Amino acid sequence: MRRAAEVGGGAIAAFLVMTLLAKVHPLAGLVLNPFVVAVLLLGLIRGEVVGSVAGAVCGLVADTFSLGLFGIAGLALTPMGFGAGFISRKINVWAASRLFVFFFFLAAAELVLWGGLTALVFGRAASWSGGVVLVQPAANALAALGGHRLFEKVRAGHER
Amino acid sequence: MPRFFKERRNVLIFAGLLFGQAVLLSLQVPLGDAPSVFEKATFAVLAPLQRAVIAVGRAAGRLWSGYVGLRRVAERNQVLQEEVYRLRQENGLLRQGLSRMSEREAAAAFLGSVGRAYVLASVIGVDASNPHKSAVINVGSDRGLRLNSAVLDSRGRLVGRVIPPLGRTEAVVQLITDDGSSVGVITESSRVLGILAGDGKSGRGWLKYVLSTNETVLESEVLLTSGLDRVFPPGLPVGTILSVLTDTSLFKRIAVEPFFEVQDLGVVAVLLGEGPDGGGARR
Repeated sequence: MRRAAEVGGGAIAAFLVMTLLAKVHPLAGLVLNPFVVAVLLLGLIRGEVVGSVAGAVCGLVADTFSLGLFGIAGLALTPMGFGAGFISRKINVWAASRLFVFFFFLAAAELVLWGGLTALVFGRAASWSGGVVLVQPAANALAALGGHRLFEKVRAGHER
Repeated sequence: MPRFFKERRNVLIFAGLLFGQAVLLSLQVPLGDAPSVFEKATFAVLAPLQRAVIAVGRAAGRLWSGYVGLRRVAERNQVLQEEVYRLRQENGLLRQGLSRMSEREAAAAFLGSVGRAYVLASVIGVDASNPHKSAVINVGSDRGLRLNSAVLDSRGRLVGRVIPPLGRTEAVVQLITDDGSSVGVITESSRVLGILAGDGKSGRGWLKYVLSTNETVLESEVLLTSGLDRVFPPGLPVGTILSVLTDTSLFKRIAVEPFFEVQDLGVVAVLLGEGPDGGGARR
């Protein structure tokens, strides 16, 4: 029940951040994708099952407010959430620089997968909005790193 | 639970999620562009939340303005901005209407109904994956919006139309720059008919079905809605022609720059039926 609340809360928080970003500038959502950040954090902190469920839920929420087929974002985010939990248990990624590279590769893989699925389903190349989207993996990785550091501080404060 | 499943529980959950989403994706094929029940339900739950966040943000912004002593100035400015906006809309509608009316009685009837011809709405969200495809506005069927209602920017220029899912207090607008959008248009001076389709990527569009033998269409020419699609009322400014190319195809390749800018879509006007230019009145 607690895990379900965390996934739901993460998806809603990402959705609200996306709404505020769109209000700041319509292209801001292309630079930073809060759904990717939420799935990366949940996958890393809570493991591969929570990560993949968060990927599916966040993907469905993202697709609701996007034209096109319902489910493509979920199919791209689910493996990323699973990978964040699974790989982080196999290799040491906890140093800041390693964590950034880890997040960056997962976010880049998600973007490539999303572009590939869009091309496969629609039979044409995905929109890269003049290359702005290519900044997204680095921005997402940086935001996820910041989010993780914040989480660690809050957890340390509670333990004290 | 058999040991096999226990040992592979995580991988099986992952595979199940992927399979479920693949099934969801394939179930939509027979639906075409129509949103699924699940999509409608998610929209109905989350759109009010989106609206609430924007409202809270605005309320916080207003509180701050008041706190620093600029409250009256801000309110006055807001009133004046809204007045200018309304006057621009009315002016645009009046000019479009009057250009097509010759009889005094018809003009008088038109002037009388301008006040209820449109409703103002704020853009509360844009398509997360591509801002040139769609936007969400904070007005829905409660204020008289219907599917296919035309949406204009602050200068009365065409932005798009209302598409499903249409909520009571929120609506989704398909922008004319979406690659799935089609608008019946006519060139302002040479009066050549065509279909404007968005390219869905750069915020531009293509004027389609103009024969390569046609020599009258020129760069910088203005496009207006033709009204022949029976969705958009005629005479609305749409964009300008950027370039005209002729290749081996039967039709010309005509690039179009729409008038509206995605980043300027703070407030939009939705044309309602029964007005002089209400899209719904002609369906």
